[in-house]
Amino acid sequence: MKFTTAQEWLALAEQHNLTLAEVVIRAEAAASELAVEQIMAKMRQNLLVMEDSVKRGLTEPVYSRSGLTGGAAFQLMQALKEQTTLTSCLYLKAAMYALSTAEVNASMGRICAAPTAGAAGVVPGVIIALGEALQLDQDQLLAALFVAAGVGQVAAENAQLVGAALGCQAEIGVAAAMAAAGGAFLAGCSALGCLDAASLALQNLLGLTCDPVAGYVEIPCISRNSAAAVNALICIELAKAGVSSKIPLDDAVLAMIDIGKRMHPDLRETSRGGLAVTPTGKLLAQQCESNCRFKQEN
Amino acid sequence: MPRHSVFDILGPIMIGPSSSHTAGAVRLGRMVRTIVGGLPSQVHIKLHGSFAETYQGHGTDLALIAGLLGLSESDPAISDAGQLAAASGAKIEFSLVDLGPEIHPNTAVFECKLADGTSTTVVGHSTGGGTILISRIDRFAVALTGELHCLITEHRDEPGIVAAVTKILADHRVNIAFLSLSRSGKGEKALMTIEADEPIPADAAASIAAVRGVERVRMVAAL
Repeated sequence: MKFTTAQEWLALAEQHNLTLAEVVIRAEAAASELAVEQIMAKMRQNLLVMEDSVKRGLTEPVYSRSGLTGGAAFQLMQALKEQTTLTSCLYLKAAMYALSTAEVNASMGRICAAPTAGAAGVVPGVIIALGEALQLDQDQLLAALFVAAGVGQVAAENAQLVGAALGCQAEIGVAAAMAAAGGAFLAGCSALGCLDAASLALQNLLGLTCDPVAGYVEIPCISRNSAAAVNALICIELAKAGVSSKIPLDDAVLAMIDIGKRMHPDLRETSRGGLAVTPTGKLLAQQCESNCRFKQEN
Repeated sequence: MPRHSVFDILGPIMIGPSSSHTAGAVRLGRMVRTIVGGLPSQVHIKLHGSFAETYQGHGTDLALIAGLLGLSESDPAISDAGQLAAASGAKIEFSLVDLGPEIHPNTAVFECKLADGTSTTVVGHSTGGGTILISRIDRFAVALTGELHCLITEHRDEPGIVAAVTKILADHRVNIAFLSLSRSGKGEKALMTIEADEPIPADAAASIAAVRGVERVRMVAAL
């Protein structure tokens, strides 16, 4: 069993009367030398790391190695405890979880890349928050992670999922699409509904550039993880309500590649444009540089 | 079949923040440890390009040390690598260099002094997504990625040595995937790297070390 596009994936699920998750697991077993139990065990390891990283930033303020950022997830958690947030629903929780993971990553903590380290907060944020809200068991969360991975596989078929190649849309955008599909799966959407949620989530983030301050995966990457999680949830809501995406996921990926290729190199992880070259961005970069301790040789 | 495994998309499990500047740096350090045969007593690491510019916020220095100590890229102890190295007695220092625009931006030069008094210099690059390339061992150009098991010989440039070495490997049923050879000059010192799909047996390495003209054998297991 194998698929390279969302359309083929969907067709396999329909033909064989399988869920999207089952197709991904069978394709993985066919392509690798791993047995299904080994594949499940490996994904369980990923989930355990995710569960740890979504919570760590809430129980203690976590600061980045550069000193540029940190403590945002903890601050949000304190506000929630003090009941000063605007809302206390699933959306806020998913955002906090995503934020926590992104902060743990910047602090040299342990994360599971999804699909990259810089976008690692989106998938666990949505899947774990939704799992808690709907009181789902571990097997259901694992299935959702396989659906999320399937979206990443389809996107990675023709695109390099790194900011340097196609901008942030290929990292955070794809992460949101993955989270939306996995979340829609948990919410009981049809296979097409899951893929439509993914397509909508990616469409909402097309064009996103990669212009991080001082070259670090922090500003705007960390807060962007939380925004992408909320974006994914809205797309899950739409799919659950029966709203379809006029543009299928495969086409949204094509659009991402087209836009990414036209994106100026200054806006693709070089820190030569956008936020990185604003007066404040430059000042923060200088401050980071002055933290460096090693001397220059000729 | 999708080209990418499910676990290329969700995974690897790693210590952040960067697959190239942190995880790749750990792998580079670990590869150097394997090449020189353990933790050197002294290492001077020179950082070039993006490694020199952004090592602080990415923890590239700690990651390289962690690798030299033999830690994996998912080990939370990476952020304590400085203290761990100090406790181990190894002296590791850093400086920043500009090796020119042709050199890969994520490059580290490891000048290692070993316990036996010898020195080895290794040049390595972090080539993205955690992948690495070792391009130089002392004076010799190499191309090692850590994906395969490798045996490196230093020997005299004279007839019959390559045949003797490959015969020993054939006798041990080791299939050679890649082989490359370079020399400092005709009849002088030569270096051969042999990469194989399966681990190279220790007794094969011992037999190769005993071949006349072979001065040194290094076993570099896949990362």
